[in-house]
Amino acid sequence: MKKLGQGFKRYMAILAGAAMLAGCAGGGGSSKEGSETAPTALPEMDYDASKASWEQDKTPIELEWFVAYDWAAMNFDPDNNQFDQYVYENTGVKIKFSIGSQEKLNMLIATDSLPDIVTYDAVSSERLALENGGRLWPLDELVEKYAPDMQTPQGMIDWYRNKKDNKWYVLVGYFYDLKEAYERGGYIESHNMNFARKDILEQLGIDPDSMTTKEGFLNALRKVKEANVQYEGQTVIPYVADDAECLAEQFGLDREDSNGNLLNIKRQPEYLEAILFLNQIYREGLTTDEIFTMDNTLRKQMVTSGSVFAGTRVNYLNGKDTLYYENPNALMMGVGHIGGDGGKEAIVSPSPTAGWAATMITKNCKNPARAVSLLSFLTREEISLSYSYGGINGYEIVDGEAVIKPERAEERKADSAAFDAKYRSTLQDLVCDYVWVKKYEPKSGMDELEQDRLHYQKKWVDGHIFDDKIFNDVSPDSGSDFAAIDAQLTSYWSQQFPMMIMAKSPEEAKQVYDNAIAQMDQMGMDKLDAYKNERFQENKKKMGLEMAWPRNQK
Amino acid sequence: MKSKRKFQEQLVLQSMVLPALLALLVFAYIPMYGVVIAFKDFDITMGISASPWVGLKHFKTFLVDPELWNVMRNTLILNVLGTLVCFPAPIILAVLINEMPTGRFKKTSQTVSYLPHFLSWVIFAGLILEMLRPNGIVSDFCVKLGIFDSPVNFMAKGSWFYMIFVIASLIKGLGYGSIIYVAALTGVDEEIYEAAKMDGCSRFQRIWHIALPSIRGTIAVMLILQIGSILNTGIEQIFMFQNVMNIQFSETLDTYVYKVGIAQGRMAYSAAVGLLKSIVSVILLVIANTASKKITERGLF
Repeated sequence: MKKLGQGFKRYMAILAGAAMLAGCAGGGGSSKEGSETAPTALPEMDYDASKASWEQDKTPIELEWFVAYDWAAMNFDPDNNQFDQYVYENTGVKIKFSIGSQEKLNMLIATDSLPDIVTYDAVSSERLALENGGRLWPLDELVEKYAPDMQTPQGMIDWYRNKKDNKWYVLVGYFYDLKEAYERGGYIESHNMNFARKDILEQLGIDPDSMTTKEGFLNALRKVKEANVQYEGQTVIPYVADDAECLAEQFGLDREDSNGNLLNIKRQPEYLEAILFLNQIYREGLTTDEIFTMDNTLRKQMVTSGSVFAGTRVNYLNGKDTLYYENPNALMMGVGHIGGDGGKEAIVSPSPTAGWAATMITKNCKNPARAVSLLSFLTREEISLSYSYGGINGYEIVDGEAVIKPERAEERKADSAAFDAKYRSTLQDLVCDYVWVKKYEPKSGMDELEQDRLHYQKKWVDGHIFDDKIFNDVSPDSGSDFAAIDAQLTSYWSQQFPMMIMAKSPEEAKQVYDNAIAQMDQMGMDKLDAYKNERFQENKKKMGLEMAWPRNQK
Repeated sequence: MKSKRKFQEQLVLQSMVLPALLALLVFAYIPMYGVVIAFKDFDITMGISASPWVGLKHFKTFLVDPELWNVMRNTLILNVLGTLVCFPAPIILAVLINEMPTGRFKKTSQTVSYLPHFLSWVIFAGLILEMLRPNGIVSDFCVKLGIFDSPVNFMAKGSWFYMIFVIASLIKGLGYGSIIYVAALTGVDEEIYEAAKMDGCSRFQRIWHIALPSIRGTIAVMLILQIGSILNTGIEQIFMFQNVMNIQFSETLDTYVYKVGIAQGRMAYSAAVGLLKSIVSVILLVIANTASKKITERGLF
């Protein structure tokens, strides 16, 4: 046994030594360490101005495209999918998609194995790493040389211009430039809205308009509680939401002071007012402590089953649409915003204007000219519209509205999954310019749910939103010490917040709030505020703004 | 010389282990090189070797983190409780199964006890959370028994997290954890039991003096491994039960490092904490192994 043990130890020692040697060798050679081999000059091309960029060269070519969303069903099938066929016929490009997680993207970056085109979150640190690491072709150079017909809002180019080299690298889907979106005839939605069940409002004789004051809102909730309203055998909970930021916005929260400095919203009086309002709702038994413990699935189930009377924020109330389609009387209708003590006009957050997926052409791309002309083809109005309105050649514009052709509508109604497989592609979603979709939105024949959405959009949202990207893109760079402080503060606040809402008196709620702010300052919140303000000033400078908050701009 | 000759004689047989060693080399030892990023400010576009060295910066950051002691407390309490409750339970179940006469009931009991292990934590935790809601089965049952006056949201009681998590882990892992002990007990010579029976030993005495001593080595090995992983709680299962009401009790080393490290793109910091954890685990493993060898004369190495 002893000899065998010694032999085994010797064997393991040799193995470990070999592993270390292999490790050192592997480490040195596994990565190309930067982009020393990347090309620096673009090939020249004779551009025929009489033809579109994607028609300059239609010889069949295959481009590899990595989408860093492992949930995305990416497939390019020109034989069976009409959209893919349309792309291939018009551009000559076949796309070889691969999908994977963020970790896989990191691995591709680290090993310099990026394919021709990559798509991932516009707000990710990976995008910046690729731009700053010299791994991407600047789109402005490619567009100028090969695809001057690319349709991109100037606001996107300005916003996503890299601050180090002043170049633009990414095409971003669902991007909004506030002014330009409205000028083009579209509009931008907001998730910040209060909703209440129309059937219960009618049953208890509550005027929806009365819910635009704090006392009116509370009275409506009290009536629901006192009446012990039941829906399909379940007791209806008067209010389900815990979003102090949304309520603070409704109460007139400001995000920029009169000197143009960024304000930390948690320090603002409207934010404290929102906490005290939520505390009152909790103390009066008008909500449930499950708001702090349930996940999205459970909350959706609660709303869908009709157990909720009122709530705040559209995406917090996922399931309200399903409830309506099961029982149109149970519509959760928009009841506007609640006025705050200061009497200030509400300025609410829009759907994120910075957009979602960023598509970039890498320096590994075998044919940047074909890649950028493909992107140019995808920025056409028809590509975004056909995704929402029945596929290519599946709709007509009648009186400014997109009308889906009856045969396509029938086909979609019969089997929506088969319809999607035949006419739509997730690729359209990644590069979608939603302003077009909103511009041609068919308003005739809308059901009550859609009519209600449009009604509150016009009454409560249009003219009451701000450009959120200027205020939100102030987070510390990923991996930095400030990023760690930010994460620690978020974690700490998430623990303190329920204690404020569940406090036994408003005085106790305020005490917890004050203590939390003081503790967060000790943890570095004041320094983080200063850092974020610097970033905010850079954002304003980039967009040529002196003041970014609508109230300060007036 | 003798062992060398023996090795050469058995070369064909010995070479069969080479693919496994190769796999170990490629997938376990070579990637260890990456741990050097714990001492660097790692930049993904620069690669490992070109990123600048920063010494022990990330270790210091971790050790002065004000949240460290809270997460360490939670990690240790969950693991100690888990060891006290979840470690002996599969042994007891294995002994009980071993005592059952062979038949359909025995097989069904074993199968039923294994099933929860094969459910993902997402599904399993979903079931537990549904049961622990104010209108869930547990609350209803407690109200009917008069334990509580009104429905209780168990997940909103922060300090109950330890108990909920340990019980959930016990239910999920009990049956599967017993397999190794059932297998060990099956190997015990039936004649020893028969002899003890003839000598007048009761069933409990047979368990205490024959069954348990027979699997002492297996128990020792499993306990050593358990102690070696005392700083691990996993991420998925904790996240499934974590909410803002219990986060003071549910934030463990793994989840916290995920939040302030990996999720913030701080790969070097995460690697530093991982390395620190591994060092502590190896030390604990060696201590537990030494203690086991002294007490039971059995050990891992």
